[in-house]
This record gives sequence, structure tokens and C-alpha cells, in this order.
Amino acid sequence: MTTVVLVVRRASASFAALLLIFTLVVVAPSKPVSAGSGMNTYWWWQSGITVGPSSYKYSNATGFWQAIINSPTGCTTQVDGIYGSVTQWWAAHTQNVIIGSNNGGIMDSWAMSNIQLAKAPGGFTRLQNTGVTDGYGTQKIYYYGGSASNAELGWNPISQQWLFSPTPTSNPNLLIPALSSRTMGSYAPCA
Amino acid sequence: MANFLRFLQNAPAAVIVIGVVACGSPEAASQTGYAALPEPTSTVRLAESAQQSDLPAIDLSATTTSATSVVLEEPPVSDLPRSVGEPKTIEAGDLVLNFTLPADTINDPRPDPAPYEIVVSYDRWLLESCCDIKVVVQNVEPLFSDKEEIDVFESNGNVWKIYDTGPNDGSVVSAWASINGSPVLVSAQVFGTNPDATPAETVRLVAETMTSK
Repeated sequence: MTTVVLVVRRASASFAALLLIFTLVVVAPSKPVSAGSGMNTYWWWQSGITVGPSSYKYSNATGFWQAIINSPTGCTTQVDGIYGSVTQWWAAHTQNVIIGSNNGGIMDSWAMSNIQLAKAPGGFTRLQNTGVTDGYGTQKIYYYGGSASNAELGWNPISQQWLFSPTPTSNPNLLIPALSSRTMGSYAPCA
Repeated sequence: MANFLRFLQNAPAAVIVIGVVACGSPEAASQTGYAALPEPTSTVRLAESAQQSDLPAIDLSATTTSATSVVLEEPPVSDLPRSVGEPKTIEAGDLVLNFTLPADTINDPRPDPAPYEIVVSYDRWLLESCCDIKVVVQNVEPLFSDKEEIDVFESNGNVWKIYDTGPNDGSVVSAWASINGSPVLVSAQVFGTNPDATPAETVRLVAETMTSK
């Protein structure tokens, strides 16, 4: 009898665990993403996230960095929000070009701060405010990486969110929020 | 029955496996289909042994201090140096704006930004001792954060609001006014490393001189 009770109790505990895990698995993905996640502070390195193959690998924040990577490297990386080996390789290349050394292609606070504060050979900050602000509060900003293609970005201080264009050539007006989740599609480099 | 109970006891682990498999995206699957990495053509060495400890140390507090070293102080209007620069004109349809740039302002040699659909007219100059200066006519009214508003003033019948935008350290400043129904923005961003650069004063100088016809 004692054995039966013990088994039933353990089964009940398993049911509870099963219910909890089902709740996490089923409910979590449908939770609406609030504004101001991912790249959500003006100073990139203060966002508190590291973007790389083992952290926010699948995220719009990765797409943000892929958009930036395409500027110094000359349109090399598909902008799909997936931090794969190709993205990592060109991220390391970007770090070499902009910073002068690399950490293996991870966008951590070291890389973020050095890339954001970097100056171009002419002495001006690579991150340039265009002076254009739309009706939603997004300030149009671009990142000059040195190639013919700038990264088209946006900063919205109201929602505390960075945005980026996956199509800087064909449609720089299309801006996607650099969220911690992945809601974006896939775009050719500098589309 | 005993088998069923044993299954239930092991159920969480089974659900985890099912959940992980179910959450895998097509993109995740396609990730494994990436072609081989391009051959390195430069000094990039993406060594697996690269460790964070190998990196040069960065003092984030120092960089932050550097980024926020520009102190925004608004002097009284009467104390501002008067612009003696060259008069400029921007046309945006029927709207003609006349204004004066600070002395020593030159044309910005850099290419113009991308053609944003909300921009009707755009021009940019460089005051090397301070900042770049942008004058933009838009077809939509800009929205700024009230928290970033630092001043409001009227000049030549135009009511200008000035905002400390971007990093909120005085290095990026924008002002806007509705002139003859068109949103007009005057903005400046610190150029170079001059610690005495005053983008807010520069923006105000330009905006104060703006007239329309």
C-alpha cells in the first residue's frame, strides 16, 4: 500500500512538472515581444547582451549586427538574424577593420563599444545622425564602415529601441527593430 | 499500469526533448547547410582559441566618460556670438528658407545620407571646430521625446523646440519648427574631438536666423 501511495505521489509530481514545462514551451513563444528589447540602449554596450553563435543567435539583434558588418566588409553577409559561422567570420573581419583586433567574431561589450565609438579616418564618428526624425520618433542614423554602403540604422528614444534596415540599397526606409527575438526574414547582403 | 506510471515519472524529460525539437526553426535547420567559410583574404584569424582574456582591456567607464564629456550649457541668447557666416537658401516646393550659417562653415564633403521618403529637402555643412550642421525639410512632423527637450524659443515668428537627442550628452542636438506648415529641422552632431564644441548653440544660431518666403 505504501509503495502504491509513493508511486502515485511521484506521478502527481511528474504531472505538475509536465504541466509547467508544457506551459513554458507552448506559451513562451506566443508572448508578445515588448518594445525595447535586444539593442535597447543608445550606447550599444549598455544593452547588457552579447550577440554571437551562443547568445541571441536567432534574433533581430543579430540582424542589426549583420547590417553593420556589411558596411566595412562590403556587403558580405546575409541579413537573416541567424548568427552562424559565416556571420561570425565576417564579424571578426569587421572587428579587425574597425577596431584593429578581434575576439573571434563575438559582439560583446568590448566589440560593441569600440565599434560604436570608432572614428573614421577623416576624424568624424562613424555613427552619424542624419538630422532626420520620423513621426514615430525614430532618428535616422547611419554607420559609415568605409565601403560604399553605409548601414542604415535608427534610434527611437521613446521606445528605447535600435532599428536597422535589411535593405539599405533598395529601401533604406524599411527599419526593423533589433529585438532579442527573431521576427525578421532573410535578406541578401546590402539588398 | 506500472509501465504507465514509470512513463509519467520520466515524462518531463520526454517533453523537454519534444519541446526542443518542436522549437527548432527552419532557419536553424538551414544553418547546417552553410557552405564552407570563405578563404581568409586578410589578417582575419578566427582562431577557436581566441579568448576574451586575450583582448586588450577596455575601460568602459572611461569610454562612457569620454562620450559624455560634452556638457550642455545654454547661455542666455544675448551672450551668444552672432553669426557672420554666409547666407544660405533651401527650397522645398513653394517654401523658400533663408538662414545664415556660422562663420568658417564649409560644405560637408561627405556623401549625403540615403534618400529617406519623408525628406523633401536636405543640406549639410561642416563647422570643423564644432559639428556638422543639417537643415532638413520633411513631409511629416517629427516626434521627439519630451524628456529630451532642452529649450523653446521664438524667432522671426517661428517657434523652435530644441532637443538633446542621441546619447543625451549634448553631442547630438536637433531643433524643429513648423514653418508655413512644413516641418523644418536644424540638427548638429559633434565633429572631431573638440571639447569646447557646442552643438546646441550652433543649432540655435542657425534656427534664429531662419526666415521664409
